[in-house]
Amino acid sequence: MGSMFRSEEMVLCQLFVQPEAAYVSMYELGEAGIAQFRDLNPHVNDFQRRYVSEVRRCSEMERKLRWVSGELPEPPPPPIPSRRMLSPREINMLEEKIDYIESEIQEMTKNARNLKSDYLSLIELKLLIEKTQTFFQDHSAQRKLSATVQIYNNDAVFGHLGFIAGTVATSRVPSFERMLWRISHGNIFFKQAQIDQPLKDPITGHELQKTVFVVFFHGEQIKLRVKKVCFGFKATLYPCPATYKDQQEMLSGVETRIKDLEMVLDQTEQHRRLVLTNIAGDISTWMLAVRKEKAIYHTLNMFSMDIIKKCLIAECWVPKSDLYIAQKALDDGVKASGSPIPSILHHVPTREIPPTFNRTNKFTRGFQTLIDSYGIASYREVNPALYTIITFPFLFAVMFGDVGHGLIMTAFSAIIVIYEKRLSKNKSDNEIWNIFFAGRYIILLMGIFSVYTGLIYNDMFSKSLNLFGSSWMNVYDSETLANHTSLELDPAVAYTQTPYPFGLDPAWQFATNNIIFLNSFKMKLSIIFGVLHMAFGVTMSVVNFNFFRKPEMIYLQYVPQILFLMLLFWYLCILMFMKWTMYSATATDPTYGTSCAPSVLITFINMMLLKGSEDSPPCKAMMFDGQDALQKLFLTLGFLCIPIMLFGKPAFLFWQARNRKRHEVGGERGEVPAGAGGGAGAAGELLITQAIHTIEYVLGTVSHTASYLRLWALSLAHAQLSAVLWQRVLRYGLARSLAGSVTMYVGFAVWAFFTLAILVLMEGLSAFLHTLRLHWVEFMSKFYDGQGYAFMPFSFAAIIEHDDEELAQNGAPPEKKDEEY
Amino acid sequence: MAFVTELPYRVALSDGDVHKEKQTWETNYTPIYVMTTIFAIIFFIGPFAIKKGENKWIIKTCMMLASFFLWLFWVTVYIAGMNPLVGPQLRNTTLAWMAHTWGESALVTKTSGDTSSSGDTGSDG
Repeated sequence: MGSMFRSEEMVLCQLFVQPEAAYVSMYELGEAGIAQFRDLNPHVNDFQRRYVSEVRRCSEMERKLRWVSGELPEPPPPPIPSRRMLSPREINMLEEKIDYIESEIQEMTKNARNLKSDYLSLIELKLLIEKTQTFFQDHSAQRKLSATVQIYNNDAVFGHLGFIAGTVATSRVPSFERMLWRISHGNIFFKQAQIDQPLKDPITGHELQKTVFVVFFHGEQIKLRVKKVCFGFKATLYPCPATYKDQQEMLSGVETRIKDLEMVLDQTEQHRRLVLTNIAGDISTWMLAVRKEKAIYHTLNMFSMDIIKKCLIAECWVPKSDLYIAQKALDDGVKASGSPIPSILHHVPTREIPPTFNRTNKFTRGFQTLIDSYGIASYREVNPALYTIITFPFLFAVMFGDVGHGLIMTAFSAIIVIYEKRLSKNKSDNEIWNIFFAGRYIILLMGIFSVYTGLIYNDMFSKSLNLFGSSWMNVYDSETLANHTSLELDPAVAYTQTPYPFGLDPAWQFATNNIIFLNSFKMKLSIIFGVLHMAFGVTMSVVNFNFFRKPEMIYLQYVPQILFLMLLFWYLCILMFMKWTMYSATATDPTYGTSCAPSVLITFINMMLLKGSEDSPPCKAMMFDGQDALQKLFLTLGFLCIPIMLFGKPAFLFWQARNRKRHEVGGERGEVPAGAGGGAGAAGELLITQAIHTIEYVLGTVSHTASYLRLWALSLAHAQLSAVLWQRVLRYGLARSLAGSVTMYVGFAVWAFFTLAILVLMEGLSAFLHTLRLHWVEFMSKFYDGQGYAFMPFSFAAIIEHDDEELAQNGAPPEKKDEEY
Repeated sequence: MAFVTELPYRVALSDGDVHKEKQTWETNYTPIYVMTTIFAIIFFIGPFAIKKGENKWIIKTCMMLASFFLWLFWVTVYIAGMNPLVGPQLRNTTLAWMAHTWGESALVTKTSGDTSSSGDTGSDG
């Protein structure tokens, strides 16, 4: 069955492939994603496996490609999906090409860096000359020295002073100056000027603040010391002429060189960009091909090599319905390699537990994920996800019922669903968006059901719709109305005796005693839904018993469980329906009038405690004749179910074991039969386990039934929040004056913000969580085993989806997470 | 806020608290039949409308589950409202507005009114 009723049947297969044919076969299996391979070499070190060199080669290529794509100015376009497989020769060519491109780009980057350093030096020199002009001019004005300049040991000398000029980082200037002062015992003259615009460091790309300095000194010794200090502080020194004429010459020379260098840098950058653009389109496709290859070789490493027959052996789990795909993949491999020896696919009957595989499409995947988060279903157990598609949004909607908020949710999710193809292409890192996107169908259904329950609760942004005409009417005349501010409508006279056809009457919206009526009604509603949901859950176990051929368990476990639940709690629901129908304000018999309507809860508690109650005329204690006897009967039957639950299964297993032992002992003497092995120990453990389960179930019927009252609680909270927001925020804008328009503008903004943030998002999240809990605990604990492990096939699609996450150290594809997006 | 001192039409009760014309209505069961039929069609006949498709069993199950739960929700609300034991407690302004705007409901089927002198003008809130 292609449905989600239970997980698929899995088959353990053994593949015998020739090494030449292996690559093509694995490629096809990877594309199909149908086989989960088992590691047949678990004790072999990663570096000793057969295909380790190929994996390493692929890792290298991947690293180079990743580096190149990091150099691209913008992210590369997505890969072109092609099912064409690369032959080993093509892969070699690809490897060479990637090598070549990588070295070319590296060289270009290095050249660019060198050029940039030169450029930086030239710029600094130019600035230095410009700034030091002022120093020298200053100096000559002060000292009025002659213009003769003596070149003294290749350093410039000004008058009798030697000087050194250069640049240093601005942050170091104070300590630099202090150091120079100390070294020279104060015999230097230090002038500095900061370069205003920051310069770009060629290597790191950071911006640096630099300061131009000139140090004037006298003597050779000091010159050496100053040079050493400059070296220590990483100041760059430049030869700077002293005379104005020489400086201008140098300046023009530097400026020409700067212009030349700028041109060269431009061209280098353009060339680099051209190369990168040429390969930008192909990078993703290459990366994909390399990744696929690496995955194939990694999986091939899991095969074991049969030396005698010279073929590779693999073990894998394959769904039975997909076996033909596996066969086709093997045949294609043989054909492509031209090998005369065919590959063999061989069933292995086994007692091992296969993985659990539920085939899902984009709609059902979300619901399956919700169930799998609690626990993967045991192999071929009934799958609750199928029913969750409807019960989850429905129970959510009971807690969230509001037409307005439901419409907002539906609109939001409908937009996402309509544009899902476009949105799924942008891979986002934003976790919250990914969660919303993955659950778009869940949110859509939740929104649609919320609109329905909103119509029934007659709640639209805390206002009611009057579509069919209210069944309540005013019966008071103007004088009564004038004398009393608040009046209650008597259902005997003010009610048309026909309820509002769809949902709650709109008259209740204005009522100050609204909550009294709604509380009683919603509580009863929650219990009814709860009992039905739980009964459904218990009945699911019948399906499991039937499938796993344990019909006796139906009588020993299911029947007592369902009887206990229904006799006590469905009887409670029946009492509720009886109270709603039997007791009326228009009843002629006062026994069935409003003042005599019994409390269903008290009746139920008295039933459980076997407490009788007396009639206080005209009211009767019991609702119908024979109720007392019937209740006692139900209670007895219910409690008789408990020992069956406690001892039924252990007694049956014990009796079964004894029968087996009798047969075996009749056949061969002296052999210890397996059934009775363990004796008292096993039986004791079985009894304890069964006792725990029974207590859990019995107490669970009470606590879980009460737990469903959260349906009432959350819907009440939602309605109250919505009412508060309207009355305290929006209503103040609904004034009649012109100034009211401004208040309305602001008030609407505040109201809309809080509606979205608190009522839709927060309440929505809260109701989602509670519904999830109701499903996981109250529903699934009645039948779900959840001891299976997920089917994780070797699939290219899964590997590509996780390409942004870390890969395992040995290049293995990452573990498939629970959620697939 | 101006208070309506006189109702635009007189309700069938006279002033004072002595005489009262009592109107009786019968319960109209039509909505139950209509809604149950609609949901029953979806529940029983709907699944046969889906004949092919890879996901036909999923769609059939969803139709049956949805129609059952939605019908159950509606019928519970309806039955809970059939014999209300308390009525809404409303402000006098609201009552006046109700009488003015809503008049009498379209679904009401009135039988003849009996004059009975039961002193009952409704209790105070």
